[in-house]
Amino acid sequence: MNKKTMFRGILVLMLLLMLLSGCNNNAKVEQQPEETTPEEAPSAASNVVTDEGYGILKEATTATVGSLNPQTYSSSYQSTVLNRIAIRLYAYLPNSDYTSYELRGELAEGAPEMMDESGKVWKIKLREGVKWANGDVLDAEDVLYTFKRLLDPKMVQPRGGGFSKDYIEISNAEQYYLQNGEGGIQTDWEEVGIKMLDPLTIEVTTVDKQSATEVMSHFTHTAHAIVYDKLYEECMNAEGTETLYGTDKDKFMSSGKFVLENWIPDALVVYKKNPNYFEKDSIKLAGIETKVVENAGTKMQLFENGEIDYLGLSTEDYLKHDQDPRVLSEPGNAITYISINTVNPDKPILANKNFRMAMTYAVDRKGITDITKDVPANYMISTRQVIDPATGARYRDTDLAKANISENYGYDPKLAKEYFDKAMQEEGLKTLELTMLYSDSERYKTMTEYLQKQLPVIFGEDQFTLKVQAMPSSQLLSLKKTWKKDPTAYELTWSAWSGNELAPWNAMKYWTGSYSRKNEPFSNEEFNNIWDEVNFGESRFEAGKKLEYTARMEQIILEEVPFIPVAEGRSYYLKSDRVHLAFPHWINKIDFGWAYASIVE
Amino acid sequence: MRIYSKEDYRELDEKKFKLVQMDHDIKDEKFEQEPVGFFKDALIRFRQNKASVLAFFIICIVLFFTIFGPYMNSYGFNDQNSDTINMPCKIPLLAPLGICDGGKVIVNRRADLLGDPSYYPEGSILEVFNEREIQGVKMVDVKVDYYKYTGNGDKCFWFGTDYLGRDLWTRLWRGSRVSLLIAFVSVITNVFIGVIYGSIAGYYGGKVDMILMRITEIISALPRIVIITMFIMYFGTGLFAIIMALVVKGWVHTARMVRAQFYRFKQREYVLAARTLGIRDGILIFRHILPNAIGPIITSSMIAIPSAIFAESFLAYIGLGLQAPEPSIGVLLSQGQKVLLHYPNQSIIPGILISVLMISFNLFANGLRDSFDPTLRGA
Repeated sequence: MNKKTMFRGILVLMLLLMLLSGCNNNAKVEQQPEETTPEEAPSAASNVVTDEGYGILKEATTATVGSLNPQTYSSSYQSTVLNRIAIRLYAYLPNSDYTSYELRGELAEGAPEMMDESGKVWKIKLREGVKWANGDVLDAEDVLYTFKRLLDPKMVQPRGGGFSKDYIEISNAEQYYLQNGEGGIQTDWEEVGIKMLDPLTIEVTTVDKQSATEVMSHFTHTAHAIVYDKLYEECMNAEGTETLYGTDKDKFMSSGKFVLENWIPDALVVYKKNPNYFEKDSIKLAGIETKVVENAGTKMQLFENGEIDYLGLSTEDYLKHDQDPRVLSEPGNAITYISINTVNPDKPILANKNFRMAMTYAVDRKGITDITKDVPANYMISTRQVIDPATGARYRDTDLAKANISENYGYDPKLAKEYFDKAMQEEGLKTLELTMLYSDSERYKTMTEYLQKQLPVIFGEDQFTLKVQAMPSSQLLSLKKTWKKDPTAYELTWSAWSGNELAPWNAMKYWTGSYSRKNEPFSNEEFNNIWDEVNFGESRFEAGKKLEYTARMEQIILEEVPFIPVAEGRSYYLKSDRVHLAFPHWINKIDFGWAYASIVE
Repeated sequence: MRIYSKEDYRELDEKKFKLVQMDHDIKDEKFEQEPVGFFKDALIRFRQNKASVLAFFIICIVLFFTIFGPYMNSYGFNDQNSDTINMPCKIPLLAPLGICDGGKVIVNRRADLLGDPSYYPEGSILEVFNEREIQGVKMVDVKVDYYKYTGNGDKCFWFGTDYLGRDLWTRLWRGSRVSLLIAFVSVITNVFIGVIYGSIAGYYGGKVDMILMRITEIISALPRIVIITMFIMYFGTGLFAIIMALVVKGWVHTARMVRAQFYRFKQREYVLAARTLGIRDGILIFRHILPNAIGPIITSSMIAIPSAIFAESFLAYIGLGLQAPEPSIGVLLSQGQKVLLHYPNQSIIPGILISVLMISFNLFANGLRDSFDPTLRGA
């Protein structure tokens, strides 16, 4: 062997050694965060809660924040973030033994006090000594400013409508909010039913008689979180129509359980325990660190390497861990359904009820969910929704709700074909081609392709064709919203709906004729009347009435078939042993209570 | 040496002479070898390039499977079956070697359920390993015969199945048919447009050339991905939109190359002679000048085919590919990549096919380029 060959050999060997040494993960051990080293871990005495807390909960999410202005938030992830760092008048908080939730005052000191016999005037006393993250006092002036901005007629914030009328209808609030619109009536702020009685007291006047629970529930909404007036004003444009509040870390002021320590948009959110929070002892963590990780495989690797403490499982990952004792499951939330554009002038058959009935009987929900690992659903109100918040009784467990579910999850190909033939005859059609739009996620892709194959088999391959088209979810959402301006925007597509899990009767607002943000046309007079009655009528205080009305509203939807419910999503999580949850299982409004967890090394 | 004059010749006796050509024709000597034309010479030289010949045979094999592969088993490309979702490869011929035997490792199983036939049908467990305890529960990893495990012992999917239980063998060859169709059609269209455009620009020159070439420069300056996205957004995803998206800019290269060939040949003597004899422009262009560019055109077309396959795959990968349920290599790769860690066969097999196709077409094109190169003639 000559010198040159030897030299080449040594070089190759060195390169291989370098590569192999790069593959071992010893380096990761050295990079363990300081707070997780056993030396610093409090022993069994970690139950002792300090103002600083102990341990960082590490999370990963695919969602991004966008803006932290509660008055413009739009996604459930934004709501999760805001509920950690912004204070509201009332909130769903853990009960004393961590077995359930309680609707209690967060900024409010206690339940609202009824000021007159009619149940329309309510006094809300605020806690004394509550502070913003910068040490400034948070009092009734901030509350009043927040609500005034929510209803600002110049800004017309998207959440203003919900604030003026939801659980309760605040007197003159909607009139003030919409005064600059068509047919608006000039209204002064003084006429709106929100007043500051003193620096620690707010008075709310409603249109109808309300209960204290309804008043409290109304103010739990994330959009009603208190904003820091000085910063909000600083971030406002000259015309007073837009604000940059919440668009970066320095344009937001924390006041909740945690303080926003760092926020790199689309990458990282870091929270630190708020030592000034009124129930600071319920928070054991020193902080939370949330990374944005889009790929499910990467998240799983991060979990396996101990770089995150829990993760939501994809279908594939769940199949790998379905027998793993570390898996946590939560009851179904959103109902996935097929939106039908019944006002599309190009496809008048979509307005034909027989055709919609044909579709609902033709969807093999069990077949679809066997693949997607969801729950088949031919109902609209999900499993987690509670009909009686006082007892925690779930709507789907009641006899009335069960009566709305048909056999075999509504799948009946023979009946579907009969309805289809009838609809085709009524419309004078021999063949029909429809296009279904779907967002480019795996779940929707699978469901769409399944229907693309199955529906022509049931309706007749020579008679029915389903064309499919994928598009990014944001683009699809924008397209769906345009159905009012452009009725040809879509024919069939997918949507999902969850609603308020503690008030399904209220959540049905989405399907009322006057609700403007829904994705598909539907209006039914009986439905609208029932919704008004169950939310504002006197009879709602009678025992069992809310259940009866809710079941009837669901029945109307299932009979009229403005859309076709298909599946109820299930979520599974894998949790690291170092995280100890305060709750024994999933709880409404609290979920698994990650914010209340503790870290034990 | 004596030098004869004319007078000397006259003195010669005529009888001493005889005409030799009276008995036989005088001809040039017959060529011992057959004459070798341009294309024949190219073929001879192509044959000498072993890598290119091998690539050509591989392309032929792929084309064979592309045409006949989907008919080689009983499964249709869109036959769904929820009982056969994500099955691994099972090729009976290779199974004795432990390759593609339908086996699969399923992880995080509870050890106490191993004896339960409702979880593990008889004969489905091949190996149990990695015993451990998680939160007090004994867990293991199990290698199973996935076909028996899922109650499909009588079935056989050579390349496995996808998320809707569709046979991947059928889908792969159907997909490669679509990918090759897109590639060939787009390349042929590019050549057609490019040849006509480049010929006109090169032949007429002057202002015509200047205007036509500025147009090509404008088209070249547009970002390809933007044009493709706009095309697909306007026409929707489908064969037409994808082919058109590949054509919009693809012909420019051919046009420039043909133009260059025209500039090289249009002043040659034989062209001037033909023009002097009054031959029409069309005949001059297509009969007398264009044949000189055929070699480079064929070569560049062959190189463009793998690029078009790759472009289609890229589009599918970013979600702008064909609409379901039609597969293509890119669609299969895009889908397979999402479950790479769980079902690697779904991405590895189309990955191998596209790699083989790319390498083969490139080697084949290299061989053609060398064969058609006039400077290498006779080498």
